[in-house]
Amino acid sequence: MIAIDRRTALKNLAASAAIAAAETMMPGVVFAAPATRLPADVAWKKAPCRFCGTGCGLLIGISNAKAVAVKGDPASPVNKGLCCVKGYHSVMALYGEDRLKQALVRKNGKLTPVPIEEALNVVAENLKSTIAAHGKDAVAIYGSGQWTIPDGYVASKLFKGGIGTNNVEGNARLCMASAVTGFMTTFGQDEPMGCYEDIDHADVFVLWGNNMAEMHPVLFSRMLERRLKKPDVKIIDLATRTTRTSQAADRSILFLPQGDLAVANAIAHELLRTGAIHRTFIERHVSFHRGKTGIGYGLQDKEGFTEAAESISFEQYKEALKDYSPEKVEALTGVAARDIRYLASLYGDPGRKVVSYWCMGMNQHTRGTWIQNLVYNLHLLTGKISTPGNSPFSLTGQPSACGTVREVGTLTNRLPHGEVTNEADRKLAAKIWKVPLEKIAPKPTFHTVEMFRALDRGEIRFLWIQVTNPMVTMPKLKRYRDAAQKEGRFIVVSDVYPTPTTDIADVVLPAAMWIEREGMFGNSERRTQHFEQMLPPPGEAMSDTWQLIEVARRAGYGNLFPWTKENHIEEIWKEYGQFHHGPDHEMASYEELKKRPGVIWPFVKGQETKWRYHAKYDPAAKGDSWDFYGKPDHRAWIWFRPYEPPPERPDKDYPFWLNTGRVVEHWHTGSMTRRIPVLHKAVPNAYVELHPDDAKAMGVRTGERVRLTSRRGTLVLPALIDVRGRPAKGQVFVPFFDEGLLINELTLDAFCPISKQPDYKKCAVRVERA
Amino acid sequence: MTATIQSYVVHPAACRAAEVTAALTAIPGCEVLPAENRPVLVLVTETSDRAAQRQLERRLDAVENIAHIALVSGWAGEEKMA
Ligand code: SF4
Repeated sequence: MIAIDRRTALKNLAASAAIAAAETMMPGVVFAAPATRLPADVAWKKAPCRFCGTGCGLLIGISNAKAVAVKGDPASPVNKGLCCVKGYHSVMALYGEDRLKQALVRKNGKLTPVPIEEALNVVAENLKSTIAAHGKDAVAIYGSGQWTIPDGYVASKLFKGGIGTNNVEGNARLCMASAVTGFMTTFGQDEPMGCYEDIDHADVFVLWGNNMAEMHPVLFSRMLERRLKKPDVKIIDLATRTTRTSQAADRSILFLPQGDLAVANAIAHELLRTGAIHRTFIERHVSFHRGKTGIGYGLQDKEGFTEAAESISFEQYKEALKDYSPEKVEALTGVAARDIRYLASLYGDPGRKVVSYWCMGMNQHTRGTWIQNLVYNLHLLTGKISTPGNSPFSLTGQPSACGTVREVGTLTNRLPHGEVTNEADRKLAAKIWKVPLEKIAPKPTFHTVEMFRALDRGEIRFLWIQVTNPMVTMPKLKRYRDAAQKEGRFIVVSDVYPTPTTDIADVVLPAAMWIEREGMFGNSERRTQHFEQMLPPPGEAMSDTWQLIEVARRAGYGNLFPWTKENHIEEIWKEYGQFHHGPDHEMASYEELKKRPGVIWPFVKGQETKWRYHAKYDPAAKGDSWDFYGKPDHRAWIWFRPYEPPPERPDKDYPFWLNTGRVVEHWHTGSMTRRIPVLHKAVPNAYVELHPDDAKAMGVRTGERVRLTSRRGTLVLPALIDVRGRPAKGQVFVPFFDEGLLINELTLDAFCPISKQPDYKKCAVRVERA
Repeated sequence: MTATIQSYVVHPAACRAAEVTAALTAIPGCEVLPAENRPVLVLVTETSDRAAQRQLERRLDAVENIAHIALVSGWAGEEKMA
């Protein structure tokens, strides 16, 4: 029987979830807070949501060392008290029945419970012996955009500064690496120039392959609310599939997979043809470039790529766009010329402020860097950038993909400030970490796909995986699952629940989750949010940060981490902050972070910088208007990038496109949300969405079994027709959250050669009635 | 015994919010949270066992003037959060 206080807590959570659902359907609806049933001693503490990169501020109700309620934090500028269904159920993810509470070590082929001290010893011994036998580049760590900032910082310091290998990657390589290279190639600095407040100023929202209604529901609600208040606001959904977002949009425009490259160029073509460009802005703040073409798809092991940028004139850029007239592009992409002209009229109207949003559709793309460049071009041609309501804005998927992976630099090529290839950046890291400069290797090693290929080839022998589930998420999964299970590979997995990745581990370390430890996340809008430890972790579970420190001490790197359990997060933050001193990236102090519902960086003289690259808002910008100081010429770069086809297209043997993605109810691989009964019940298993005409031609109805086959694998799933989304004819969609129906057995490990981010949105499959 | 807690979003038929609120409030185990500015309600239900749950569902089905009712959240079974 549910005890009285637990019952109350569950009723509160249930009520909150329904309120959230109603708020999503009807922005602006107001309910009296259902807080009256809570125990008198409940303490409300602030934390960012554990799930998506929106970074909603939550208030967690704690009573008797238990999380008993959740509500949106009205003081948070991100969500202003709103919350989505995942946020409202987030604390339930702490209490799944099969939570990992004990360490496990594989003995005689079986994972066997051991005291955590023993497991940490085993990890440290194997780390040392692998380095001794195979060299420092035979050990690697693979982390996550769900790592807290201290987790990522300690991992980078241990591997790059202590061991001396650049074998550090995060799963954010799979979700936002193209956003990073897009920002770097256009602006010379990573992360969006604007912030969510742009929503309150914009007149037009163009969503580029971004199902915000399901992936960023709170921001979507804010956008709908903006339209309610200002009815001439337009929301345009530009996508390959009809979704809940399309249904709420003012216009839904479908393009053929990879067609976005041509559509963006056609909009630019039209802007130039009609003269709807901002000439003074272009003359003063933009330069024109082109790079290599025919750059491949990374399908072969060790396939490298080096960009060669060439400056071109405005006239040359205009000439290059000649092939992208709306009519020509209509034939290539299926987007009507009139729709292209309509989009150009929105971008080009000087009276309208425009926000472009995107997420995985543009990031998981074999020309991911190019499509980001092309969307920036539209904002740069029209001068609609770095001012309130004018924002090209890359949304992140994970709660700290920005904070931990991009800012701390937990990627093979990055350091907490800058690149490993840059001597000044290495010198700064060596100084702050108090290690010899030679310790920090000057060359990147393996990006994520190549890291798992190196595991297959035997170049990597020891791999520590934290807060991520690559045995569900790697594309062309079989190769990498087989690799991890080869003789002579040692796999450590830190997680909160058993997963297909813990199944292949030699050691499993139980991790403290979210508010069971202190930490910080950094969201999509450069906002860093601190959360305190509110609960004791279960059993012997330990934070990922502290696991790394314990292993470092056992393996002889203890001098790098001279902190105590009590002060280590504060000390890490202070040390890490030294990497970002200066007006272009200054971080808030630890004390400031504890006080506020998050702080946007650069945080200079007590002020957040909400819009970068404009002197009116950004203390790092010189002059009286725009200053793109990330580039040596202080200009943003417009790149000419052509349309190039994807590596695999439907043919007579595999005639359908396969697109994969997420659903609102589940977080990524579902390892947490599938343990929340209501979310699991709502979407208990993966499915394949078909266009109704394709389903009819095959004689398939909702619920009937369909076999998908690609050149890499086969999978049988139930069909779903017009229940949630509708793919275009000749395309199918499958969500990836279900470890029982692994769609990544079928996907292709092709990636953008610049960002090295795989394309999960396009490969060819055969579709049959099973 | 299987205790169940569920929540729903309820859309009453046009101009019937007050009647629907009254009808739902009268059902034992039902708690109604009406929105302050729109004709929509949140309903939280609690039952102590399967039979009571089935009975409650029958009574909900019988309430008139509900245009649409959607189950949002639910919790059934033994204590899982402790
Ligand atoms: S929108 Fe994202 S951050 Fe906000 S509550 Fe939902 S999952 Fe959490």
